[in-house]
Amino acid sequence: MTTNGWLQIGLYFFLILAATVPLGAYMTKVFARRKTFLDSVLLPVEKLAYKLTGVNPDEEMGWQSYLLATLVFSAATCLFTYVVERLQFHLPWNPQHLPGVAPGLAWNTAISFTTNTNWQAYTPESTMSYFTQMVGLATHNFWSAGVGLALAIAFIRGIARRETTKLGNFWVDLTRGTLWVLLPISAVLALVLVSQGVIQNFRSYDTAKLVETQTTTATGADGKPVTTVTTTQSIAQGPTASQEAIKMLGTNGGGFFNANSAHPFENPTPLTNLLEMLAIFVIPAGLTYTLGQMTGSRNHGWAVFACMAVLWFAGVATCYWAESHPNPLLHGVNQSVTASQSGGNMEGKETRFGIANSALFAGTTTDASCGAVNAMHDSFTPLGGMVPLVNIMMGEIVFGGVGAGMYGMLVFVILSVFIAGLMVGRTPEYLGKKIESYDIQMAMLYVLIFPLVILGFTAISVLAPGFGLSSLANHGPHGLSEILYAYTSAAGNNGSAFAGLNANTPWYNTTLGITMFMGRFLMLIPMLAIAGNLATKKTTPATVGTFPVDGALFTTLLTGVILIVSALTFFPALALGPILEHLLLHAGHTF
Amino acid sequence: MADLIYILLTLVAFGIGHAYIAGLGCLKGKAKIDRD
Repeated sequence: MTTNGWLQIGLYFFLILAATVPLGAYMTKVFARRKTFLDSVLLPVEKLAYKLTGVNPDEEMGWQSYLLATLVFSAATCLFTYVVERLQFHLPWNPQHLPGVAPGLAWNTAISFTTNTNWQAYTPESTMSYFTQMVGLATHNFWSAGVGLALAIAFIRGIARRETTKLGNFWVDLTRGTLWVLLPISAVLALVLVSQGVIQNFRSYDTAKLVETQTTTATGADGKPVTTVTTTQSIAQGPTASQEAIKMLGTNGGGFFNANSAHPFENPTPLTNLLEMLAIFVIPAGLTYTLGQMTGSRNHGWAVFACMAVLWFAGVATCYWAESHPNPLLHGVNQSVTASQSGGNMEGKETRFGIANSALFAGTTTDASCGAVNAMHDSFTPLGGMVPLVNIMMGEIVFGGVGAGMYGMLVFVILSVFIAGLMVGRTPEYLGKKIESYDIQMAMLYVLIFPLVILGFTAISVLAPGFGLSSLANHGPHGLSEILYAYTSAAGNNGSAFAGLNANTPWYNTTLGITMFMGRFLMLIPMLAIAGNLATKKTTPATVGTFPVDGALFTTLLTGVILIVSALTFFPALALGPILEHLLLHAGHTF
Repeated sequence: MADLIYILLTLVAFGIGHAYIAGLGCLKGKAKIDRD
C-alpha cells in the first residue's frame, strides 16, 4: 500500500461527499415538481410524453397501483429487448452481420437488463449488433435505473407522508427521474468520455496486421494436431461512449466490450477511471441527502450516509490491503513496490490503474450493484476477492444501486429501529411512526428472499455434475466461490462475475434469469408494501424515550445490524469458499 | 418453440409478481383486522 494510493481513495471520497448535497437537493426539487434550471427545456418534453401516453400527472397511486405499473412497464420493456435480440440480424446497424441471439441467452440478457443487473453471459462484440446495444440494452440502462429511482422516492414519500394511501405517480417519477437526472448527466459525461478517447462510431470492425505472426496448435476433431497461423487482429468498434456514461451512472455495469471498463476504448485514462467511479456513487450518495430533506430530518440522511461510508471504506481498505500483499506461491520473485512496478498481486489488473484503483473500483462497483469492472475479480487473492462477494451479500445497500440501494438500506433502518425498540422495551418508532408487525413481516420477507435464492441455486449447482459443474473451470473452494459469486451477483442485481464459470448454458441462463427476477421484483414488492403502510400512519412527537435515528449511536447500530444479518446468513458459505482458499493458499495449494 | 417458452416464462414470472402484490395486500388487510 502506498501514500499515493490512499490519497487517491481519499480524493474519490471527498468528491462524492462534495456532490452529495447539490445533487441530493436537486433531486428533491425534481421529484417534488419544483422549479429547476432545466425546466425550460424539459417541461415541454414531459408534457408531450404525458399527452402521448395518456398519463394524468396529477393522479397519485397507492402502493399496489404503483407496483403494478412498475411490473407492467418492466414486463413490456423486457419482452421488447428479447424481440430486438432475437431479430437483430434483420435490423439495421449490424455491420458485422451478427446472427440473432439464441433464445436462452436472449432471455437471460433481457431479464438481466430489465432488473438493472447487466449480467452478461456473452461476449458483446461478437454477439450484439450496434442496434441491439443501443436500442435494446442502453435504453434499458435508463429505464431500469429510472424505475429504481422512482421506487426509492416512493419509499421516502411513504416515510415522509402522513395518513394517506398515496405514494406518488410511477409514470411521473419515472419520466422526471429519466429526463431531469439520468439524461442530462449522461449526456455531459458521454461527451467528456469522448474527449478522453472513448470511441463513438458506427463503423465495421477494424482489421490490424499483427507485428508478430502468431502460430497456435490445437487438436482437431480427428485427433490430429491442427496448426493455425494468425496474421491479423479484428478490433471492435461501436457507439461506446453513449452507453458507457449511463452504464456507470445508472449502476447498470454491462460493458460494451467483454473486458468492460478494463478495455481502453471504454476507460482509456486515469481521468475516465475516476469519472466512471464517481458516476457509480453520485446518485446513490445524493439520495441520502434527498432522504433527509424529504423527511425533514437532514441528520437522519447524514446518519445513513455515514453508515454507507463506513462499510464502503472497510471493504475498499480490506481489498487494497489484501491485493497489496505478494502471492506467497511465487518464490524468488520481486513483488515489492518500486518505481517501475505496483508490487503485490497484479494478476488480472491493468498496469495503468494499479492496485489502489483496481481495489477502489472493485469495492465501489460491488457496493453499488453496478458490476462494471476494471480488473478481473477472479484473479484477486482469496481475501481480496471475498470483498466484492461480501459487498454484494450485504444486499447492495452500501450506497447501492440507483434507488435500489436507498430502499434496501431503509428496510435495514426499519429492522434496526425495531431491534432498538426490543432492547429498550418500547414500541419502535421511525421518524414518529410506530413500526408494527406488518412492517417487520415485510422487512423479513425482503431479507429472506435474498439468501434463499442465492444459497438454494448454489447448492443445487454444486451437487449437479451434469449441468452445475460441467461448465466450471476451477475445482475446490475457488470453484464454489465462482458459482456462489454468480448467484450472489444475480440476486443482488450486480452483474459482475468471477471468471472460470461458463454461464451460457441452459441451466445457468435460466436459473440466473430467475434469480435476477426474484432479486429485483420479489424484493421490491414487500419493500413498497412497507412504504404504503407507513404512509397511512399518524406521526407522534418524539419524547425522551424515543430512539434517535440521527446520531452516531444509530449509525453504529445500523452498521452492526447489516453486518450481523449478512454474517449469520452467508458466513458458512464464505468459510467453504474464499476463507478456505486463503488458508490453503498459505499451505501451498492453489485452485 | 423456444421463443414461445421464454415469452411465456416472462409472462408467468411477472404474473407471479402481480399475485404476490395481491397476496401482500391481503396480508395487510388481515393485519389491520387483527389490530382492530
